[in-house]
Amino acid sequence: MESMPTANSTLSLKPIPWGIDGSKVLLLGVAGIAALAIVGLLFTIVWMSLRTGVPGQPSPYTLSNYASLLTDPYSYRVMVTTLIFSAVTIAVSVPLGFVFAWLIERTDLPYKALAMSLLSIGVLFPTFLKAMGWVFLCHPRIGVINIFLMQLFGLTSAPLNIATLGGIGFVQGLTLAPLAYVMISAALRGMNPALVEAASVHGVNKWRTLVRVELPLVWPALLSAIIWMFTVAIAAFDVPGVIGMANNIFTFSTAIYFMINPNEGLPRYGLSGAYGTIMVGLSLILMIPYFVALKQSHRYQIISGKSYQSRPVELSRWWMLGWGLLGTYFLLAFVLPLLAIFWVSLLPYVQIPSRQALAAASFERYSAIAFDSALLQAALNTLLLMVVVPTLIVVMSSAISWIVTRSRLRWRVALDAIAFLPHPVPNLLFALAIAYFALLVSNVVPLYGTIFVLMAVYVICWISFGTRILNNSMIQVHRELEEAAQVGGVSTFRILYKVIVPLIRPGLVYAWIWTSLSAYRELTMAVFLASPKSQVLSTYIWGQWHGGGLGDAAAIAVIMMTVMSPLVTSFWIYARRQQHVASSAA
Amino acid sequence: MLGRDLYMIGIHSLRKTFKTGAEAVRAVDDVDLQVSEKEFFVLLGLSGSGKTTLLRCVAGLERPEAGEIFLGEQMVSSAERGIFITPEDRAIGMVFQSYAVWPHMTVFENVAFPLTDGKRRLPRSKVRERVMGALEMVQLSGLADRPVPFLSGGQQQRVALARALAVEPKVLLMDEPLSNLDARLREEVRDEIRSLAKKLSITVFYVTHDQVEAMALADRIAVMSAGKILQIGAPKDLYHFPLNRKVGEFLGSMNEFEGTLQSDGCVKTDLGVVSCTVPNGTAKEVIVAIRPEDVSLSRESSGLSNEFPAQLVSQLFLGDMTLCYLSANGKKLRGKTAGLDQQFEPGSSIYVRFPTEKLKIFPR
Repeated sequence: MESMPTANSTLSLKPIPWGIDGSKVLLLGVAGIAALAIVGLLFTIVWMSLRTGVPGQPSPYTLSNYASLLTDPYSYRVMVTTLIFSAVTIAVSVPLGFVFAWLIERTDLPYKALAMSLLSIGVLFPTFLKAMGWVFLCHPRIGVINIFLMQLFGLTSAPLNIATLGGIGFVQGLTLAPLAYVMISAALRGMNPALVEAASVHGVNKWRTLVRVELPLVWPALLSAIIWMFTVAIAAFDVPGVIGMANNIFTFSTAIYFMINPNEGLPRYGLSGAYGTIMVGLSLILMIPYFVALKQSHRYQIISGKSYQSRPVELSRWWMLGWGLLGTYFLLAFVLPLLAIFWVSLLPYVQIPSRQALAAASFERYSAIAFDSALLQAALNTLLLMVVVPTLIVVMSSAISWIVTRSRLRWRVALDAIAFLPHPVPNLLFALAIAYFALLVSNVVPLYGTIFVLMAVYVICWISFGTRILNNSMIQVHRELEEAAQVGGVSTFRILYKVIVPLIRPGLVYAWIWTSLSAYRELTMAVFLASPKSQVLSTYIWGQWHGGGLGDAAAIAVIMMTVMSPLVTSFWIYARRQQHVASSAA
Repeated sequence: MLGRDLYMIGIHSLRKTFKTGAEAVRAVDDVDLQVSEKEFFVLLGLSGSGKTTLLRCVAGLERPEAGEIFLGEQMVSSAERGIFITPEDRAIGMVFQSYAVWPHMTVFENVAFPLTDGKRRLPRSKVRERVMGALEMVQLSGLADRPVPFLSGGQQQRVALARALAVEPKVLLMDEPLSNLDARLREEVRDEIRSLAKKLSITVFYVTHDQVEAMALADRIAVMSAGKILQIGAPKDLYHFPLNRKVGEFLGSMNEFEGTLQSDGCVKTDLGVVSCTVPNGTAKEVIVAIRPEDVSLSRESSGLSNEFPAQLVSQLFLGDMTLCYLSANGKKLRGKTAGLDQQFEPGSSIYVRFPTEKLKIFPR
């Protein structure tokens, strides 16, 4: 401005192509690798379904796997089993979730915070441990409750049997009730209370209001919860794996596991691929009605800045019934199974609690397993996953979420959709695909059976979780906060770690801890991939369990939960505080 | 670009289109304008007129698809030549509508951040002095160590201003900086911004939808609508001599009458024949317009031209003036009288007169 402009003053400028700089290339690269891995693994499933034999062997492209799937009555049995199992799961989890959501969101139930905390913390405890607990409680031969009832009434056969299709559906339903609660309560919270108040003002009683106003309004959310539960049930491995497999009850997921780990013969990768392709298709098709229902439910929700509190339904003395229900649930879903595991871990063999049994109880198993070097290795592997996996997820999800919420790339919507894919698609399929891939390249890169394969698949599958959290966090950061730094001359990378990262730190920490805890409790993917040298705690327990070492499995389970409790509790306190901060800021 | 004057901002044939689904909205449509050095330039327009997009193009936050932008002698954007300087490399300061102060930093850190982490970095020893100087200017030096979420809206706005000034920009861009403040504070901050800009002799490019704010601040105003600049000029010129009806209406309310141009140069309206100065080449069908405060009201006829009998329908006392709703020959019109010194009874018959020099003629 001090000098007169000259004709060639602009010619010295280097043209910069469309504002791309090094940091943006890096972000795109990181996000691209993640997206490529997700899509690549899904294609691997389809690809392996079109081939026969062992990975790496030359094979013609063939539909023979689908032919044998369609002609085998076993596949129909698996399909029917999966459907019934899913139906029972939904029938148990959704009504429970709805009642809990209604009690907590709509009534004056005392100690709501306690109920919410227990429900949320319950989600984090490993499902396969609860399933083990239920075997100890209600197995026809070793179930403590069965033995107790038989002795009490002089019965000759066990009255309860958890090792049935209904039984595993019931246990799965119990473990999924908190998830149903979370989904439904969000819908109830978003519903305009004035709609309910309008009914009561005009003389409609509580019950009719519930049936004629509240339920129809909540129905889309309820339907989306049901569909989601269905996809979760199809993918579920823990409960069918722990209780069903030993009793010849196979759902899709355990059938695939059995094909890869048969008692005799070679693994049938081709056939498992065909099963997997069907599961992928089914879960993706289910997403259509899921999103339609979800959209419908959002239409019914109020969007208002002010918190609009309705007068809660007064339970008066009925609160005892509410807490009775909640209490029974916690007893069945957590307390009894966990107590059963603890009890079994103390005994040389399974027996019902009695004076003699108590005399035989000891901590002998615990001191014995303390010197197990394989267990130590599994613990170290678990610890490694708990640190590395969440860190990678947070980094990759940040890159993806930044591109999705901040850039104007045309492909950002596709990127978001790809990052979401591992959410509905059963995770065990990603494990199956990566196992196949690792076997394919095992001559070049000896990845198969290493802890890195587990690491990779955990990261790929849970990026969907990381991006959900971080998309949400980043949307809340006003675009102008970033632009102000840009105008101030700050580079993209610096903006990312000096402005955005501090502002979304709660989301980052939340995603990190959650995925770390998930890595701790994860069984499904691990059993597909763990080799003797890449055992983790969950697969070690799984091995003990199916090898007949029920007592040892129980003892390690107790140790696992003891270690986990303080982690989960601190996580819960952190999450609550962040939520509190978030709501006060809004 | 040869022969350009000392322009601080030069915008040539600029175009920017947004695609929303199948629709393409031309937010900036072939805009040309120049802002002189040390000028306070205000871009005035309704929301959706493209004014913010134009400002963001100058900042480098949007990339135009055609045209050129100069900051001083530097070409910062030229779609034709493939030149695009990113915002961090343009020597600008900017105040955002949402303030955009970083909530995880203190007042001091907010102002210092571009100086410690940006392209226009200062040696560490100089940062403090510069930041405190900027805070001094906006009277916030006492609150330097306060985290910004603990500040009021007006104070956050000052932080944003201090941050933009601290980099000593060639050009200060402001995007509706006052729209989130309450009315009283808005006037106070508005006047401060104007005097600060003049004291520091910086070039300001300011966007607003509020015509009073625009007139109070600007050396020159550009009125923008549907992506195009309708008129550029000093506030007084724009107010009194709008080139078209839209600009006239935008800067203040007007009484408008449809009429037909007669051969004698007068305009025949529903009110009667109005004599006025009609520019050459005006079409036959015209609109005659006059601002309410230019209508003179009296109880008695003055005998001058352009005077018509009218009825006072109602009036609104607004403190500093009284707004009169009138009816003349079945046409509604508005007039203004200062304070309490001229009072009429509702329903009374009075005379309205349109001084010739205050009449505006637009093609219909």
